[in-house]
Amino acid sequence: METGQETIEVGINRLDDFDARNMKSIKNAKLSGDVVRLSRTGKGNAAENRDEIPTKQRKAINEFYKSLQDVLA
Amino acid sequence: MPTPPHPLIHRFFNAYCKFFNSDLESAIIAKRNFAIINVFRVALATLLSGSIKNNNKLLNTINALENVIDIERELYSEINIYKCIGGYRNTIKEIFDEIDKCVVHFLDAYEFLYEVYNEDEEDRKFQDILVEFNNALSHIMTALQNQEDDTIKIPNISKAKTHLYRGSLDSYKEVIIKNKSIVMANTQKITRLGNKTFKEYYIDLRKYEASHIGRTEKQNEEIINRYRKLAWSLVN
Repeated sequence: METGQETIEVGINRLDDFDARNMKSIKNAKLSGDVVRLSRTGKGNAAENRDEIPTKQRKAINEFYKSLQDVLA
Repeated sequence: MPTPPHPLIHRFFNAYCKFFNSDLESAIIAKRNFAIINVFRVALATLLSGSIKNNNKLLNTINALENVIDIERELYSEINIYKCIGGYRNTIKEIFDEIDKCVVHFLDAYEFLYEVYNEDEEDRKFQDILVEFNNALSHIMTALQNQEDDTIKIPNISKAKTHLYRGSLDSYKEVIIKNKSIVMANTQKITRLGNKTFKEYYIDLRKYEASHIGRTEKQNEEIINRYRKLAWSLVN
């Protein structure tokens, strides 16, 4: 049984070098990707995903991701 | 200590304040806009990145975020429970001194799950995990709106941390669920898991979680790290 005090061999003790540039979930983010529900559901989160987004807002979100690519470049 | 959040983070929270008001109105009757919640996740990760220093480009991104939210406000503007007039600067620093580690844990866990589920280069977003992120932001927002009242501010900071912790844990658990057949079938001892099989490590971890969850932050963090270690070992 582990003690709970062991050194973390793999893990995220990397607060000092946190960098969104290395993250696929940031670099690849776009509006068109699906929103999926995983297996650990049923926790009382009633709100469903809004899958119909008006054109004007779609355009604005796409502009956000476009500007993000500029930041990450 | 990690790099402090970019000064533009006060505009991030002002935008979130407006979204919070709209979301109160829309989440149930018009469904929740997870596309926007993902935009907030991406924007926050960018603002926390110490390496991103081009203020003009970041400013454009925050302007774009505000534009997205302004459109949401055009659609859902009947609730204005919170006044979105800023003035959070000092409290944001105080809150991030307290929760920055939890935020980075969360962003890192989401990234891990993302990579496992998007090997085909799709961009699937995880509603369940984004719910926890949104809940955390809403508690931070409540703390900011009540920054002079510790009886409201402090419990809400604590609740924000709980949601970030929950989102991190669920991300790793999802990876384990996706690989449960390996946990059950593989009888090889794994060096990095203390020379235990996946199942032995998993069983010990479940016992550890049951006997330590919710006790101290250090123990919560240890639970996250052990789940991460198991999840990481399953996919590497």
